[in-house]
Amino acid sequence: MYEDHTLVSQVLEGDAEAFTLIVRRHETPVYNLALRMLGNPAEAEDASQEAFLRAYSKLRRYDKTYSFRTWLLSITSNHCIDRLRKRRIKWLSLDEPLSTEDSLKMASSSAGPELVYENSQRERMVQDLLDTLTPEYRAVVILHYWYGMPYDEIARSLHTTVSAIKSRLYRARRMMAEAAKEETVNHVEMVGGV
Amino acid sequence: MNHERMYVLMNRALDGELSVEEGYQLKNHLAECQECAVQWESLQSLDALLSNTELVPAPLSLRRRVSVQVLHRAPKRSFAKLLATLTASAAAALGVTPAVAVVGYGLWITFRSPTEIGDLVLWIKKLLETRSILFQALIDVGVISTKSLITDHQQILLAIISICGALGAGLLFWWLQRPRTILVQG
Repeated sequence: MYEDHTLVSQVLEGDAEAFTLIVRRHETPVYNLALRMLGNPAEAEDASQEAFLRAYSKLRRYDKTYSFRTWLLSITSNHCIDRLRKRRIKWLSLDEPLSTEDSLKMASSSAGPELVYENSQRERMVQDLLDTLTPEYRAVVILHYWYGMPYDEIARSLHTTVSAIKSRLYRARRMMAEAAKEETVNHVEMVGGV
Repeated sequence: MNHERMYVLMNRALDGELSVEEGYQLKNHLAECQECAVQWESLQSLDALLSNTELVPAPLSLRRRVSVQVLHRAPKRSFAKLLATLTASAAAALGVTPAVAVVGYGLWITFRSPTEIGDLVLWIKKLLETRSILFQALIDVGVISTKSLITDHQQILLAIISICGALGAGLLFWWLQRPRTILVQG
């Protein structure tokens, strides 16, 4: 199995097929980041494709002293932030996009129906909580929880400082915890009303 | 005690950054403050929820879409290499070889006479003298068909054009061999 740096060197020497190996290696983290950020599988796939193509076009600028995965996720998260800013007005739309819940159902078709239901409920809740955050806060939460990135790597990825990242994460947790509490209260009231 | 400071400690605790002393401070505060205890509980639940959510596999179509785009835009390496090699070889034969031959012949003439070694002016003079000998040789092998068409000035001009041609071929070779990048908008 080739290392990322070896594959990058091969691509830079003109071997475009080596880039398909890079895609194969990183498609799941890139896609999941886009999915968490955007909350829509179709859009996440488009964003992932765009992120990979941007990485390909900027490959000469990649600094090999840093992790390639971090660099790639940085491109992806910044691209998703741009997308979210552009479509901010669409958030008010009543159209319900295909949710991550549906994506998970498709992915876990081999699991039992109860597990699928449980997973889909959890997925939906997580995505609803992420949706309460601004794009910048959302990116920090995702990179921290799903990718286990240390603060300095997140800061480098999002072109900001470590203290800013901590501040965003702390505020995001508070916002999400409050949103979760409200959702629980609403759920209890709804069940009680029936 | 400051609730905001406790909130920071809660976050540090979730991230595993809490010192022993800070841990005691937080524990004691939570035992006394109901509001913070509720907040701590909700933060822990949130942390558990986020930490236990798994990654979903990427759709197979993603890999195909990216590969098609990249391969489609990549340079046609074999054709580019062949074209560049042929161009560079031809230019080198026409441009670099006569230039090297002129200098080489001049050096040979100079070093053949030990007393003249180190005399730069004389060497250049010899070099200019041998120019006509070289072109005569080129005429003899048929590269230049008619001697009368080539004057001294034309010989110098031809040498300059040859060197420029070789440099141009080198640049073309470099340009064709460089890895092609994709221009993406946005």
